[in-house]
Amino acid sequence: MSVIKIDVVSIIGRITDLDNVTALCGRSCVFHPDNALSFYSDTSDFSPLNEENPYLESLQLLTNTFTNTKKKLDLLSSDGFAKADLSAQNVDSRVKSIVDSFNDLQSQRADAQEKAQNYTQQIEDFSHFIGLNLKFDEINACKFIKVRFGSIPRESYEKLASYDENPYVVFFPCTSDETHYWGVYFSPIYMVSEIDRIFSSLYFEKTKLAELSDSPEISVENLRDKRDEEIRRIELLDEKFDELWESKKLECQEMYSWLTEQSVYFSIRRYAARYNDNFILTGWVPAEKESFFRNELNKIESIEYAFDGGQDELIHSPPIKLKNKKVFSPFEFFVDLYGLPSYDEVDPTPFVAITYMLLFGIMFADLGQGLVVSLIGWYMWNKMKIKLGRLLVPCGISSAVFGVLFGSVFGFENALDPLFKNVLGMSEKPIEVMKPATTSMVIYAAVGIGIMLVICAILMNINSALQRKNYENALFGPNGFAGLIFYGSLIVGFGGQLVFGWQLVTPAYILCFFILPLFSMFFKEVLGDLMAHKQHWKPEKWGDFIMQNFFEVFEYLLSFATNTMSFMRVGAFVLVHAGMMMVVFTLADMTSGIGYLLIVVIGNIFVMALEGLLVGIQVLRLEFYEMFGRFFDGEGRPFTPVVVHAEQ
Amino acid sequence: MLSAITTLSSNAVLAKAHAMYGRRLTNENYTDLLACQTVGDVASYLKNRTAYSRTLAGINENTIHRGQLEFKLKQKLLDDYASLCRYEITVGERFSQYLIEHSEIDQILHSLLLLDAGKPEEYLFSMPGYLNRLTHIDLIALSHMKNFDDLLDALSNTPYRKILEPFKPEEGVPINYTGIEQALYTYRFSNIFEIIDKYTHGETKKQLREIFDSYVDLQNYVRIVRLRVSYQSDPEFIRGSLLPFGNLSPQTIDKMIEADTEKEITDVMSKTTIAKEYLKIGHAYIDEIPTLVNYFICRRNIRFSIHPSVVMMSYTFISQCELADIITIVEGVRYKLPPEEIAKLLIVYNYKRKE
Repeated sequence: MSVIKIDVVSIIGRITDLDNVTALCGRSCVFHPDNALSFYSDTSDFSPLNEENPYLESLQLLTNTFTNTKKKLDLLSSDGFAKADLSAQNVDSRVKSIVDSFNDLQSQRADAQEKAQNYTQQIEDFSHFIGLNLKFDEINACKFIKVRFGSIPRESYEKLASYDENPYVVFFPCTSDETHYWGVYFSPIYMVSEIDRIFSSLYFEKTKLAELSDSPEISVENLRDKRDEEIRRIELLDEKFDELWESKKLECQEMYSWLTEQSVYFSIRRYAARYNDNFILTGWVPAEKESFFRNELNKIESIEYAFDGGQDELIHSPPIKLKNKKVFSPFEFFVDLYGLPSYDEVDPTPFVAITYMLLFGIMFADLGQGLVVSLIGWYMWNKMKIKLGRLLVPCGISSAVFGVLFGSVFGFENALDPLFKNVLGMSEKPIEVMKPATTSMVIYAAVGIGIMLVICAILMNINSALQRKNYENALFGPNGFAGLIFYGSLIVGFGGQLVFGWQLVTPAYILCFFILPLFSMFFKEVLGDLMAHKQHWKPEKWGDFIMQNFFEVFEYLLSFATNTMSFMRVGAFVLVHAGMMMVVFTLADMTSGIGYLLIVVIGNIFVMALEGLLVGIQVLRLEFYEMFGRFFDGEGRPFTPVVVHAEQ
Repeated sequence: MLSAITTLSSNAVLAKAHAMYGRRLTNENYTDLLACQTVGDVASYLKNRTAYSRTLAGINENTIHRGQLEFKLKQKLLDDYASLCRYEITVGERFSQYLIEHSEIDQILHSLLLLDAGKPEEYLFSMPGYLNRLTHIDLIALSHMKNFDDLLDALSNTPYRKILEPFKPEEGVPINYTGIEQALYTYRFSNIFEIIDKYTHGETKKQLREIFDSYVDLQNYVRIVRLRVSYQSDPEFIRGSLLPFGNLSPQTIDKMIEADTEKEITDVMSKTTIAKEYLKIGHAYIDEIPTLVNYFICRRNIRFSIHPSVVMMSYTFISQCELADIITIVEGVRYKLPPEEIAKLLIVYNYKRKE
């Protein structure tokens, strides 16, 4: 089993010690808390602890202050803020004081920014009227005419050309841009509301030009000066902000780190339960860290604790942390994708690693392309930290190995012929994929691989079920002994007859190896209950039972066939790969020189990308559906200890 | 060959409609829009955070007028519809007229209202320029109309002239707006039902009819309630105001018209198939029922139907609902309504929240 051994720890103490205990548990970085109430049957005198986190508000306040700035709050280590003299009593006031000083600068900056934007808009508006030699004081003094400066959309201006109902609805343009015309209209004072209404329905936007006392030129200059002043003010505020940040940076980070830590430790409390003035806290600790954790707990004398093995608490679903050899560990990614194994379930990672590499290698067999894929995977993992890169390295190597077998290097099917002929003394390469005789062998071999993998999956299920003492599944299930015998006998009997001419399928053979296993599968639940000496082994209604199980067994039989046939895609992709490279070379042969080289290179890149993706997905599908479906439930939950600092 | 092309174009319509549907506004978008303080904020949000960015690319969100924004959004609806119709070669060309007819009828009715108010020249100001290239109506002539005859002249070369001619008012008699509206809507629905019956069959026909029949039935139900309860109209007038389509039997309609209160009318309606299936959908007020049920049916169709015409029309109706909601938000923000009051009037937003 490739999961780490885990123990459950129950800690009891006075409620006043809970903070110290949670801090201790959090600092240890090995404690995965669990709901204490779920571990006890009689919890009538217990109550959950649903307190509001007192650190969250200050933490939120602090992080929000710097959210939209370029200043980053880093988490310091516990030693980094040990001397900060922070406590629950003084942290709120200290945070508020610092946040207020930053917020004050930010609000001043926002105000200056808004003013600068307004000035910019006004400059843009007024700029359209530069060059008009207007005396606004005289314009404003008009008693019988109202003047409106502003802009109107192009479409509306074009509509005005067709409007002749009201002679006062005339717009005099000064300038225009892509979307608007800028100008003026006049209205006699007795019609001003009507004219304004008409222009409003034409989406006229008024510019406050008439309210100016100076000419547009002077006004624009003044506005520019004001805007520049605001920009300078913004720069000054930015400098002040930077200075304040430099002076308060350490204090901010200390408070941020302390609050984050306290908040995380406080969150452990919600897993605990209260019993009068006492608490009980339960959680999981890796077995190898038990002695370390005991030493930590011993630092608090007023508490008591007890450890139990994870295998004794299966009902509470111990959390899982996979632990595999370095060569298998990249494939934990796929297991994680499907679902982690339960604590008493087999870890399929080694199986996935071997089968995935094998199938990928067969389906993507090419020495050159395989090595390139490995290199890409190495780069992805080492430079870009992409998890998928770790998988590509072994898969690429597997492809390279099978590429040697198929004698293919970047699609050149005869590149390795000298190796086979001169070094290994063979007349030709071992497998010539595109030969007609080989084509059918490839398909048969793929089905053969499928049969072997299905049998392996069934064997793994039997092993896993026996370990979990699930004898019904192990013996009578479609993925147990009954299924193994049925499937194996089918393959041996009919396969042997087809291939080797064996005459094994006799009535006795059928009875013992087909009928009997089918009968076991059909009455799986009844037989399982009988074996477990259960009193109520009979089904409630035999009719319903038979009807239901008839369809279930039919489904089992179908799945045997479909799961086996599904592996034909392995052979199909071998042929597809060779076929695609044949197309590339057919196209390349139409040109010569640099054109040939270019087509070969681009063709290889295209095939690697497209087929690599397809093969990866298809193999994963085979793993998840054809294999995992037989022996793996994947209902485990991950082991996530409380950790404040990511690097811990 | 033709069937192969038809299949390809059908797949294209389905894929395109689904892709466009995937870019609809989310619950989060609606919540953010409701929090906007000005029309400019709404325009800016739509321009920068939603699929309307391309349509609103050239606008200045600080200065855009509410009416301009609505125009741009309606233009997008027509453009999307046209792009889908181009792919649906089996009935696309005929269905493409549906939305244009819808817009044309809106323009005719709007101009009629202005004519009745004595301000026909103001039609020019609200005339949608984007419709000019799609319609056969002379919109420029419509904007110059001074009387009913000018209106009829503007509608020359269109089927609307013949429909409106009988409604030419006598001297001193007001225009029969309700009658014209009824006639135009009847024309629109009869067109669409004719297209469905003539050019579609099987499941496509069934699903398309469901969309329109349910809308008509519920629209008739709402009209009966409003006219009977709010306006105390006489039965003959009510019968004349109903759309002569749908699945409600004449007996059911008569019983509803005879009823006195909304509850009695609803009781009669609840015995029909459509009511049993759809009236249980929660609604804030009765007038939103037809649109809400229409949205529900179209949403179901767009997810499960495999018929291109159905998916295309369903997407169009859903887009119309979304557009209506955005316009409601714009108007609500413009007139400083509280967000919770605006939210009550929304169709798509409230439907999503109930899910």
